[in-house]
Formats: sequence, structure tokens, C-alpha cells
Amino acid sequence: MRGIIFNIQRFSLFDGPGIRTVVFMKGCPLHCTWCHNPEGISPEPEIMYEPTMCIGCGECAGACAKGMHIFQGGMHGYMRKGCTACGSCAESCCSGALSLSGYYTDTEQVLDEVMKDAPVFAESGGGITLSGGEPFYQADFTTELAASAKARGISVCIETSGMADPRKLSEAAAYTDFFYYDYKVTGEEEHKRLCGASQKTILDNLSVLDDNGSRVTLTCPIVPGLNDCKEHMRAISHIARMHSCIRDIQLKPYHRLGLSKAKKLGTEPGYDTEPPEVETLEAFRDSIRSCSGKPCEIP
Amino acid sequence: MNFTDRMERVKEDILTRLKPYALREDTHTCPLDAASVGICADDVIKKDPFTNEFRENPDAPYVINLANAIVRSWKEVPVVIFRNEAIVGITRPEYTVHEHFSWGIQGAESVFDDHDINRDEAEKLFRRMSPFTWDHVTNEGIRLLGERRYEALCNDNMFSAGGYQGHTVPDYGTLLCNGLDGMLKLTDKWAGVNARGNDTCDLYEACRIIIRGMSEWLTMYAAEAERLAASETDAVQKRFYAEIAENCAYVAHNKPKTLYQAVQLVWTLSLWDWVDCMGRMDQYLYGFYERAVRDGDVISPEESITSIIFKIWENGSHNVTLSGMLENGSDATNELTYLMLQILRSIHDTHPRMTVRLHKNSPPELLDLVISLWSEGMSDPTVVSDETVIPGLIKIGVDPKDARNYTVLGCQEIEIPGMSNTGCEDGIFNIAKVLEYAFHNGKSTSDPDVQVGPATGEFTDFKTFDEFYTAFRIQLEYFTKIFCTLCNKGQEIRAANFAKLVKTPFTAGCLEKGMPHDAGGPVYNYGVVETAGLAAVSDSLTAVKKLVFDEQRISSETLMAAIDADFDGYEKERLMLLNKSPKFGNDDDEADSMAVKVLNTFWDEIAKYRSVRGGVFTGACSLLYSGIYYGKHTGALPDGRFKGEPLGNSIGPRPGADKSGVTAMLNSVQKLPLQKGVGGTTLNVVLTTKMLSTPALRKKTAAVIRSYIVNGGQMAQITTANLEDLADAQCHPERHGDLIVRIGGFSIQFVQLDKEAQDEIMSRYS
Repeated sequence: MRGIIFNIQRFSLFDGPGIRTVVFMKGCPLHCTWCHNPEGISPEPEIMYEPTMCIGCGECAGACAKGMHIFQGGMHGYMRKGCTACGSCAESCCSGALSLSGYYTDTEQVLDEVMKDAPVFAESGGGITLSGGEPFYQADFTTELAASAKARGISVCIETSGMADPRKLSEAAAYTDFFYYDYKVTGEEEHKRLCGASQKTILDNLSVLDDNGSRVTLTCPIVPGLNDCKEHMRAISHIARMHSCIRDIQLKPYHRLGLSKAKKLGTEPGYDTEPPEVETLEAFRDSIRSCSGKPCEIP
Repeated sequence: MNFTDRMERVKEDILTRLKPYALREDTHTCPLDAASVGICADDVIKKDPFTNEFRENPDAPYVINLANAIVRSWKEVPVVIFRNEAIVGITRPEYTVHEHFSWGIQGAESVFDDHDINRDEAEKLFRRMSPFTWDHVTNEGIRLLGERRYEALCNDNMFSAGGYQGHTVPDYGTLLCNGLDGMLKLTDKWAGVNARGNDTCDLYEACRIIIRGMSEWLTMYAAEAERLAASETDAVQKRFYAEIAENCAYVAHNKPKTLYQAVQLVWTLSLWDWVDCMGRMDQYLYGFYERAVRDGDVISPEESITSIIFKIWENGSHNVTLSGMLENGSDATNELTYLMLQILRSIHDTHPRMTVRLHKNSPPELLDLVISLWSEGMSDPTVVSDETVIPGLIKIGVDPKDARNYTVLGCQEIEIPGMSNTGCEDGIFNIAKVLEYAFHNGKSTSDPDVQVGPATGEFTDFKTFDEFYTAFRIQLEYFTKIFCTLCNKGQEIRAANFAKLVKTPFTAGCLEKGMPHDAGGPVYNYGVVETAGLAAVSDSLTAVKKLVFDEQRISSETLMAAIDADFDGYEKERLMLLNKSPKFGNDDDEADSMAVKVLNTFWDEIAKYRSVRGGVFTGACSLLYSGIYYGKHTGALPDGRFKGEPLGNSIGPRPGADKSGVTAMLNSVQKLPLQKGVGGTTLNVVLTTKMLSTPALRKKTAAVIRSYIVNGGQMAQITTANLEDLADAQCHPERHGDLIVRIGGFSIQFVQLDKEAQDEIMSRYS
């Protein structure tokens, strides 16, 4: 089966147990203001452009069939509006100023790449992690990747926002050893405002994973000024207590990595603030530990 | 671990003495200088025991002069016993170190500075002290190439042939089994069997002189300790002196029975061997350790072991090897393995240097301890794979039992301890220079008027990549032959000079054959050739194949113009070469298979030649500064590298080119024919301290290392990134693609981060 991904990252140490290879799948139904992987939002290939890397060689102008790259007085102009992201400019670009984010691939190709680290998975208890974007945006591809990885004897972890068709989620859960499941903000209106969609499906789907007997790590982005409040921490603890599938909680501090990528994509700039203080995080962690009775870490 | 009070005091004293001696690799780490023993600079020449010995005994054979000079140099050193120490003996101060390493007696030319003898006499004395000099190599080079071509080749800096001083590990096991008197008996026995003529008789006599010298030296120490004991008022220290006196007197002749005696004897030979390399200490001392634990000893077993490790630490031995396999293939880890690592951990310094041998049945606790040391910021121990090294040694003709007993020595070389002279190394060869010759039709790079290599054709005339590769191979074959010939000439100098004579009676094979250590005496005499420029050459060839021949994105004329101009005016082409062609180190088969092909071509070629000592030349790659040195003398290359930039670090990828994570980089390296590189092939792996900071992360690191060890890797050295590296990475991101840092909840290459994010990471260090 074919699908679109934007990266395969080996030697990932913080996306599940052991050493893992993370497959970043393109396309996401949410639009979180602090998104650190904005190139994962659109389900189509996109051109990323970093003007400071451009050496003005003009190769892209010749490569683009639509004439979207022009050079005037040594200045490089790129017109994203008419661009179909065919990638020929990126292919011609030597400096790396232009790059193509997102490419179509299939299950076999992905698994061949992932299996290159099979000996290290075996030594470390690692495996494949499907991330994104939102893996369930391409639910059938995700399920097939999980099933094939399982068939090859490696562990499967899925990092999801929970925005998934419950039947598809159930289907994938049969092949999934671990879920990293986001819980982002508390309150339906807040969720709509900050993440661009209702939270109902996400909350309901935790019960689906309860029923499946899945192992879930609740992953909670901590974004100063947006969700770094006690009510949210209480809600995290409450949800962790409510759901038998949740084994532990991880707090993921906000960072600014997404900002420059949004700029390169020409998309709306993301939420910009200072990363949270270590002391604040540790206080949250401690309160969640005591209120939820489950392990909580800041990885 | 906690040292005993006595050892803690010894440690403090060493730390005080070490301060003025930053560079211990110089092996001049003696607590005494000439001035401190009342010798002024002018006296130094007159005091030199080597010159004096040759001068006073002009009729003795060279090897007898030499043996006597060595003994004299040791006996003229003041006997120094520090308070609290348990085993004794210091390195010689500088004024007696006119040692006979490789090229005859170092400093022999100082006879010309002595105004008491006339020019003719000085000339005669010099000839006697240096029967063979470097001219022996130069003359051969000129004979092979002619003066102008040889000069151009030297200026081009393609290789350094003829070797370094040459590390080996003496046979500590046999010494411990026999004691010094036993070694004398062995010498007599073989002299009886083998005395063929004056030369062999002289050699055996020289061995006796050395062994007796060691006995006498130990007796001097015993006498001094007794004298100190008599006058000492502190009861405890008085006892220490008395114990030292008894210990030294005993091992001056007898074979050791206790661990305390064993470590004093080992230290004596190590010192006389100029603290070269220690071999598998946890193996040859283990029997003594067990006995000491069971039956007790004058000092505790921990103190004995700590004492000798401290001596090695202070005096800068090059390597201690731990664990690995026993002769029968089972795991060799024992209590001493752990004890020595814990001592290393408590010392926490750049020395002593240790290497841990690992195999698929190594206990997990051992690797856990190794990783704990790394996580504390140490770069020792290095780890090395029995699974790769042992089959590789067997392939070059080493007996399987001996192969399982291999040791790491020098910086990262490999040999069979106590029975080898592998040249260590015979030379360093920069294959990137060969590639330059292939591009330039065999013309010298320092003087393009000189046709130094074969005329293999202009690059612009090649129609296919295979034609070009053939040109590269022809250049490589041509210069490998010259290189190996010159390496052997260098070895002939060593042989003629009886280099490292002290090792002769203590290396298996020498007494049995009646041949010196540097002239084929040892059992194993294969040669070792260090390889520089692998990543640069293979990435360049991949780029040429892909971008010039396959895709024709760069014309051959443009490529030549670009590299000849050091890319000035060709930035687009440089970036294309850099970014549009895969690089070794990313588990990319296109790039990796080229590296495999290049390394096979070179290492198969050197294996066609035999070292003059006997045995094939074998590959190695563990460059210290050579990657930088040879880089300075290498022009721009089609991997996008500017003229003069470093040539990559040992067997690893071009600095910063491995962008796919550590596991991909290790996979690339595992594809290389590392079994052919049993001279010692190192990979440097950089991890941040953060990545080793928790038990869970250390477990992940352990999994990566184990996988590398059992799946075809050879040696790995881990460096944990420090702040300076990160700062340099900001200025030179292209050199630091291997720095992995954490941000938020995941790991990322430091150089991929924005300046702000980098600053953020760096701010965590303060």
C-alpha cells in the first residue's frame, strides 16, 4: 500500500522503548498553534525554502516548468501560489535552500529501511515508531505498516493525537505494542481554539484502547501561557486515573523548533514563547505523580 | 572505589608530581630532571651512558656495547623510593634517554658537539653508534624513482614509510613463570642449541647482560630500601621500606610466588621496556591474585594491583587490555577485570589507557561498567570486538589459540602479546594523494612538471567511471609497491641497530631462533599499514561516478577546473558534490559499497607484500593527527572538501557527513572488510554526556555497542561531547554532524538546530 511520509529517523531514543526508527507520516487533522512539525500538517508534498542558504545559482529557475522561480538583480523570488510541489527545483538545488518535504512510498520500502536496524532493535527492545503528522490520517497505511512490522518480529509504537476513527484505531491496536497518546489541553472550547478541532473523539478513543487492553503513555505538551496551569495538570491526573490503558505519563516541554520550519514552508507562524522552566515542569510532574498514582517523567 | 589510606597518599603524591608533565605520551615522565640531581646542561653530553659505553669499549661488538649501555643507563639513574609506595622504580631522567629505539641511538650525533674529541674520532664513534641511518631509506627511494621524482614524492606527502618506534608487549607470562634467573637459564639453554657463530653468541650474551642488569638494578633498590628502613623513625613507613627491600631482593633472582612480588617484577620489565604496553594484565596476573586472596600477601591484593596501575598512570604506558576470550574461546572476564576498571574510574584521567575486549558472550555487567565510565566523561576504555579480530588474525596465519590471546597496544594497534613484532606501525599511507595522482595523470602535486607516478591518462579523456577507477588502481598498485619496499628498508635499519634490544629475551621466538626482536625473532612478524583518506576517497569516487559519468551533471573539464581552483568560482559545483551525492556513513549502499571497494583494493594490494621480518602486511586505520596532517597536504577533492581540510577520523565517515544517526553510521562501518584490518581499525563515536545520563539511556547505548561488536564492527572509541565541541560546531557545522543533542522530548543533530536552539542547548551546560 502507498502512503506519504516526510522523514524516516533512525536512532531515536525518546519515542518509545529501546532504540527506534521513527516514520513521520504526512497529514494531520489538527492545527495546534505550537506544532513542532508543521511540515506534517498538509497531506501533500510541500517545498521548503530557506533563503539564507541560496547562493543564487539560478538552477531552479531552469528546472521549474511553471516558472515559479525568478531571479531579478541577483534576488531569488519564489512564488508558492502557483507551485505544484513537483520537486524538480529541490532536485536541482545544490545548496539545500530548496527541499521537498513529503514523498510517496509504500509499505515494503518503509519496512526495508526500518529493518536495517533490526539487530539494534533486538539488542535494545526497540522497533518502529509511527509518528507524524497524525498516523491515523492515513489509517490503512498505518495499520499495514504496523502489521508488517509485527510480522517481521519488531515492536511497534504509534504516536497519535487520538484523532482517529475508533474502528481503525482498534484495528491498528491489534498490532501495536505501545501508544504514545497526546493529551494537549483541557476543555472543549480551548481545544477547538488551540488545536483546531473538537476533543471528543480523542477522549472517547482512550476508552477504545482501554477495551483493547493497549499500553498507553499519555504524552502532554507543556506550552507556557497556553496550558501550563494547575487545572490542566489535574485533568491529566484525572484522565490517567480513569483509563486502565494509561501506564504512565510524559510531559513534553514546548520548544521553538517548529518556528523556522513554518517559515520555510511559508505557513502561518506558530506560537512563540520561552520554553517552560525546569522547576515548573518538575512541580507539575510531582503533582501528577501523586494525583494520578502513575509514573510521570520529563524525558 | 575507595583506595586504602596508603594508596590514597600515593595518589596524592603522583598528582603533585604529574602537574608539570602535561604530555605524558612523551614518555619522559620522570620525577627527576638533570638539574635536580645536580647535573648541569653541559654535563649532560659527558654523562650520557651510551656515548661513554661505546667510547670506552671500542673493540666490543655493537650489540654488546648496546646491552651494556642500556644497563649502565639504568644503573646510573638515582634510586628513588617515594614514601608510601609499595612497588618501586622510576623512569630515567632525560639525560640518560639516548635510547636505541628505531633509528640507532637517539642523539648519537651529539658526539659532534663534544669538544674533547676530534672530528675523525667523533665520526668513527658516530658510525659505531649508528651503523644504519635514515639514508638507507632515502637511497632506496632515489634508486627506485630517481632523485627528482623521489624528492617530489616526499614533498607531496603521500606516505610515511619505515615506521614509528614500534610498540610491542613483552611476554610477561613467561617472565612470571621463570623469574629473572629462570630467564637466564632459558637463554643459556637456547644459546646451547643455537649458537651458530659469533653473531648469535653475541646476541645471547647481550640478552644475559640485560637480564643480569635487571637483577642488579633490583638489588640496588633492595639495598636502598634497607638503608631507608634503618634510618626511618616512623614505624609504619619503616615497615614499608623493609617490605620493599625484601620484595626487590627476592624478585631480583627468584620467580615470584606472591602477587606483590609479581607486580614488582612486571613493573621492572615494563620500566626497562620504557613503559611501552602492558598487554592482558587481568589474565597474566590472575593466578597470583587468586592466590593472594586465598592465602594472603604482604600487602592486600587491591594494593598490589592499585600500585602497578598507579605506576602505569604516572609513567604513561600506552595500553592495558582487559577481558576477551580464554584460549579455549570461553569468556575471560574475572575479578581483576572489574578491579582494574574501577581503579581507572577512580583515577579519572586521560591515563592509564585501557581497552576492553568484547565478544558475544561477554557479561552484560562488564559493558555496563564500561558505559558508566564513559558517562562520567571518560573516553577510556576503548572497546574492541573479538568476533571480528580473531577470525581476521587467523586469516593472516595466526594460530587460533594465539589469536584468542590478542592484545591491543600502542594507540589502537593489535598483536599477539609476548610473541610479535608487527612493526607497529610500518607506515602510514594516504590514499587520497593517490586519487590526486589519478586525476592528474600521475603528475606530482607539489611540482606538476614531475611525472612521479605512472601516466594513467588525463581525467578528461576517460569515457567511463571504470576507466577512471582503473587509473586509480594502477597508481595505487605502483605506490603500494614503493611504499612497502621503503617500509622494509626502514625495518632493515631497526634490525641492523638491534632496536628495542630489551624486548629480545622477553619475546617468544627470539631466544628459540637466536634472532633479535626487530629482525624476525618473534613468532609473529606481520606488518601493519595505517590507512588515511578512506572516506575522502570513497565519497569522491561516488560523486565522480554519479555526477560526472552517470548523470553528467558536471562535465569532467569543469570538475578538473573546480578542484584545481580549490573550488574558487565553483561554489555551485562544490555544493552539488557535497549535497547531491551520497556519503559514506549513512547506511547508503551506493556510498558504502564504494568505501568497501576502495578499502578492499588497498588492503588486498598491501597483503601481496611481505614485511622483511616475515609475514604479510595487514591493514590498519587508527589515525591520531595523521588525518589532519595528511589533509593539510591534500588538495581539493570531489567530495566537496577544500584543499587542506582534515581527511576524516580513522575509519569513520567524513566529519559531519553522517546525518542518519549512530546506528546508520555503525552499519556503514560494519560493511567494511574490517577483518582485513587487524592491525587495528578504530572508529570514533561521539555521544553527548546527556545521552549517557540515565540508566535507561545507558542501556540503549549498551545495545548499540553490543550490536556493533557482534555484527562486524572492530574498535569503537566513545567521546562524550563537551561544550567546546558544541561551540566549534556553531562555527563549523560541517565538521560536527555527529553531535547528538536533546531538545524537548527527542534527540537531534546539534548542527540541524537554529542558532537560538543551539544557544539554548549550550546554555544547559553552565
